Order: sequence, then structure tokens, then C-alpha cells
Amino acid sequence: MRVVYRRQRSADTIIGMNGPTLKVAIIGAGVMGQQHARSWTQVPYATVTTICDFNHDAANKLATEFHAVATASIDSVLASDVDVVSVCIPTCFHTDTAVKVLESGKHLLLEKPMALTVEDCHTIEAAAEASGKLLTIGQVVRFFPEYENAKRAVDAGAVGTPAVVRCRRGGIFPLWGTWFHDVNKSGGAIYDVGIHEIDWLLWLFGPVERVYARSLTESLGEDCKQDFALVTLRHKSGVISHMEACWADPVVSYNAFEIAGDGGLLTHDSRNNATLFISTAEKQEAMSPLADADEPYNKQIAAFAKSIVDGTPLAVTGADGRAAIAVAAAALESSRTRKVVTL
Amino acid sequence: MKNIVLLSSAHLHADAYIHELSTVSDARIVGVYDNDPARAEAAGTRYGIPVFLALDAALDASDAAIICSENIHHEMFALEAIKAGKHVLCEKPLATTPEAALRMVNAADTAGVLLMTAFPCRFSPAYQQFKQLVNSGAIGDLRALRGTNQGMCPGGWFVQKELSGGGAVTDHTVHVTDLLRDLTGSEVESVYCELGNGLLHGDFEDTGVVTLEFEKDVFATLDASWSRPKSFTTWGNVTLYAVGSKGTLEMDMFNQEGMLYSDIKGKVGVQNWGSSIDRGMVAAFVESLLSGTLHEKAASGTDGLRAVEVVEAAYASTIALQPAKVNHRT
Ligand SMILES: NC(=O)c1ccc[n+]([C@@H]2O[C@H](COP(=O)([O-])OP(=O)(O)OC[C@H]3O[C@@H](n4cnc5c(N)ncnc54)[C@H](O)[C@@H]3O)[C@@H](O)[C@H]2O)c1
Repeated sequence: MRVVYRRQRSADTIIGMNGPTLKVAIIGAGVMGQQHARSWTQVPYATVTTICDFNHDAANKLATEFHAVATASIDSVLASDVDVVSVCIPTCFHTDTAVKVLESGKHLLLEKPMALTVEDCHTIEAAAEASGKLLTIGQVVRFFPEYENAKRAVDAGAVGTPAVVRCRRGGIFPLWGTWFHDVNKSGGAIYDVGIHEIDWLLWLFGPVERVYARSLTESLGEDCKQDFALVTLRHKSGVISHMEACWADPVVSYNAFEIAGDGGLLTHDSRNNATLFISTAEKQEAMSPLADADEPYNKQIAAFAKSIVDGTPLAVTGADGRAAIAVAAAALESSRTRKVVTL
Repeated sequence: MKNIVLLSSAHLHADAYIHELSTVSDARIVGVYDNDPARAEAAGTRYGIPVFLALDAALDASDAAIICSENIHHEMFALEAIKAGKHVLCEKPLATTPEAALRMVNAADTAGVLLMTAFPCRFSPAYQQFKQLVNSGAIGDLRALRGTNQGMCPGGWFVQKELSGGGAVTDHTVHVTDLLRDLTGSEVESVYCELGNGLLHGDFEDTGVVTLEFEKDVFATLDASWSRPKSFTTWGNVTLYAVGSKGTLEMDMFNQEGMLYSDIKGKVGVQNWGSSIDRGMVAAFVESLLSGTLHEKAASGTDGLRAVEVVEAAYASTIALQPAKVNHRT
């Protein structure tokens, strides 16, 4: 049964009415699939009904936790009556799966990075266009309060006109996955971690004119699970930004940024934001908890759910996802050729 | 006892050098000469030292000179001092063009006097330990580096290109470049730079993000921007981050500081309590004078020249909009 939502009706009204339920399927029950399942569960009018992973154990485990049906077959998801699908599988499989999901008439939340090539991004966007279903990309950093705050501050002129920006993300190589070290599957650190910064930079400072980058991506592989990239972007607005994507630290991950403008400087370093620190013989950990409603993955999914039910414009579009991929692709090309790449 | 003369106090580092000289035995400051007589007077009063009204008299009275003039005058002062047979410690950047720097290096070589470039960061205990850790293999093979030397715009002659030779890229590329050359034991092969004037909107660059490719298989970026606003807590920073095959190493050279929240000054500021890098450098200069050979940690004139060549390539890349090869003079 397909649920027809009345447009212009707020999500709150629907909750109040005990109204229609969004049926959600998650494809890929790894680290991100688990996060999506948790966050969809926070949406009062959504239910996770299906977990799909070609690894049966992974699918079963997550399905049990969320009282959902487990399947190893994407086709069964496509044929089912779910309304929306979260695709959380390795990046190299994004395009095929995204197109199928959209063609089957379901809304799609596709994890970042959107795809490995700009061409693939176009293919996915075209599928969304043809199906009339909503497509969003998991550029979740836009929902991180410190990054969102920077957007608000910059737009409000807090640093005057921005001139030079630095940002950094990453640290520990994602050892939980079996595929990140393969550049043909993940794209390396620029695509996998850098994409967050690139999207945020584009969101705040607009399109990029040219890129120069150096990275260790060429040596990334089974025997060298390490990547590190330093990327300089020149935005059309004149802003210079320096982006650092790191998969090179055995222990510490952190993110940081600073935005210098003609009226001030805004800085952030996640290493300085702990509100809790526990120290025992077993464990030393800094923590920085947020209210559930402010938790970025929850916010990302709540925003998408709202767009589905009441037509609120998408926070992140397929075109946004593609714009970030275009910059990532240029950065990787620049690093390989040691030439400046103009977009 | 070595007699040292200060040739100009245009650069504010003169204050620190004079102060540190007073703590070094075996050397004394004999006076100051400046191309700007009023500035010479002021420095004489500030430091309590004699003022020379003629350069040759100043050089006659000394064994060595410390040059803290505007960048554009480094060459003139250095060549005069060298001609008079005096050793030279010259503020960075060594000169505003590689050609001028090369003339200084060659003149010193021919005259058999010492030419040292004022790169005090080499004497930072944090940097010394950074280098020792990298060289001992603590983080495995060195693969990539990221540095910053961000600061407040110093204003004055620093933003008058006819005196400084350039803006932030001229002023702040050289320190980190020198550290990276010293650390890697390798020369910079090519340089790419993005620069702009979006902070102060003057006719000089106030931002600069520079990528360096070393002859050894290592790359680096450095941020030379004058991007610390007037309201910032301190003048700026020197940081390095090294990625090795086994881990990372991070340095924040001037982080040994306390915060001072002052109602008296109406300002938040820092109080640095770290070891003075200037003391180490000035002491090394005096030791060099005594031994007749440049101290092992000191930056030579050639080191100063190499950094200026990197600045030249940085500017060249902004015209070509592609990385520029560094033209190494010999
Ligand atoms: N937004 C973020 O903060 C963030 C963080 C990590 C990863 N990601 C992205 O999420 C995606 C998934 O990453 P992950 O860390 O969860 O990976 P993961 O390796 O933890 O999980 C991937 C899961 O997908 C399954 N899978 C692989 N191919 C499949 C297919 N064709 N059909 C069904 N299941 C399949 C695997 O069995 C595995 O369980 C990637 O695109 C990654 O870049 C985003």
C-alpha cells in the first residue's frame, strides 16, 4: 500500500494525528547502517521495517535489534512497500544501488560520498528526476552544531568578509571496513573524509574555481592503510581554503577549522570541546554529549523525513553531492598530475 | 670579547636580539647605526647604547653586525659590513630577491666572514625535539608535513612593498620553509601558492597558502597568512605537523603560555614562559664569532638564499597558476 502524504502539512501535525508511517529500509548494516537505523527510530512517524545486507549475520543482528525484517536481497527491498531507503554500502556500489532504489519509486538517503565520479552523480540525479522521488546525500557535517554555527556566523557577517580558511578532519584509518584501503572502492581520504569538508566549504564559501592538492593516495592499499591529503581551494568568491583529510594517525581523530575574514577569526578544534572527561585505569576519554534533538545524524534524518512528508526543501540535494564530488575528483587528479586543476 | 653593532632597528626583532645579547658573556653591543637618524636616536635611548652617525665608524668599532633594517636594505648593509671584514647576522628574509641574497653569500665567502640568517625557530627546544624524534624514526618514514606561521599584520614598512619586497608571503614563508629544509635535509623542488588581500584590502598580499614539493619524496603545505586579527590573544604561531608511516607528530612552538585576562588592559592575552628562541640564536652567533665557524644549528647565508628562492617561486606560481620550479642559484 502506498501512503499518500498531503503536502504542506507539517510533520508535527502528522504526529499529532497519529498519522501515516514512513516505512524505512536500510541497505548496508555496517557502521553507518546502524547509525541510520538508530536515527530513523528517533523520527516519531517513521518505522524501520527492513534491513538489507548481503552479509546475513550483519542484516539479522541489526534487524533483531530494531524489530525489522532481515534480507540479503536488494531486489526484495525494491519490490517491497517501503517509502524510503537509506543506502549505507561501500561507495563503489552507490550508483547502481541508488539508481535501482529511485527507479523502484522510493525516496533515497544516499550516504556520502555520493559516487566516485561526477558522471555517476549525474546518473543518480537523472534517476531521481525521472522517478520524482526525493534524493538527498549524507553530507551530515551540515548538521553538526559547530559547523552549522559557523555557517550562521559567516552568513551573519561575524568575521566580516571571509578571506582564508583552514579545516581538517580525520585521523584514524577506518579499520572497521574491509574496503576503505581500496581507492577504487572508497576514493581514499579525499573522497571519504575530505568530502565532508569540501561540502561544508562549498556551502559556506561558494563554488570553487581551481584546486591544487597533494596526497598519499597513490600508495594507499592493503599493505599501506594510510592516506593524508592537503588540498588548497580557490573559491570563485576569492576565498582561499586549505583542507586536510587524514587517515594517518594510529590513535587520535579530530576535526578543526578556522575562518579568517576582514572582521575577525572564528575557530573550532574538537580536541578542546569536551564537556566530560573520564579517567580510570581502564579508560581515558573526553566526551562532548548533545541532546538527542541536536545529534547530527538524527537531525539529518529528521530533516529528510520532514522534506518527504511536507515538502520542506531538501537540506542537501543531489546537485550538492555532485558539486562536492567534482572538487574531490579535481583534488585527486591534481595530486596525481601535480598540476592545478581548474573547474 | 666580541663587539657587535646593530645596523638599524626597523625590524621589531631588534629589541629581542639586543636584550638577549646582554645576557651573553663574551659579547657586547657597541652601538647602533641606522639609515633613519631619528630611529637611531630612539634605539640608542631605548637600549641605552651609543648612536653612530656614520656607517663606517659603526663598522670600525665592531667585529660583527646584526642587521635589522627594512628588508630592502639588508643587501646594502650586509655588503658594507662584509667589505669592512665584519661578520653578519641578518634578519630574515635574507634579501628581497635571490640575486641580492646570492651577492651577499658570495661576498661573505670571498671575504672569509660569517653570514648567518636569523632563523631563530631552529633554536626552539620544541623544534629541536621534533627534529630528533623524526630523525630517530619515532613516527616511521616521514611522508608529509603541514606547517603554519600565521600572524598579525605587523603594518608599517612591512606593508610597503618598496621597503619589504612583499607582504605575508615574503614575511612568513621563510621560517617554516627553513625548518622543513632543515628537517628533511632536502631542497624544495617546486612551489604552488594561493594568495590574496582579502583581510586588509591593501596593495600587498595578506594571505598565502603555499604547497612545497621536496626533492626527497615529501610534500608540505604552509600557511603564511597574516590571519590573526588585532583582537587575537597573541602575535601568531609557528606550528608543524608531520605524518610518518607509523604515526604523527605535532608541534605548537609557542604554546608554553598562560592566559592573562586583564581588566587593567581591557584585553585577553597570553604570557609565554617558554625558552627564548632568540637567546639560543644570538648565543650561537656569538659562539660562531668565537670559533670562527658557523654554529651547527645556525642557518647560513645559503640557507637564507634557499628560502628566498622559495618565495620567488611562490610568487611565480601565482602568475602561471601552476606549481613553479625553484631556481636554485649557485
Ligand atoms: N556520514 C558519515 O559520517 C559516514 C561515516 C562512515 C562511513 N560513511 C559512508 O557510509 C557508507 C558505508 O560505510 P560504512 O562505514 O558503514 O561501511 P561498513 O563496511 O561498516 O559497512 C558496509 C556494509 O555494507 C554491506 N554491503 C556491502 N555491499 C553491499 C551490497 N551491494 N548490498 C548490500 N550490502 C552490502 C557490507 O556487508 C557491510 O555490512 C560509505 O559510503 C561511507 O563512505 C559515512
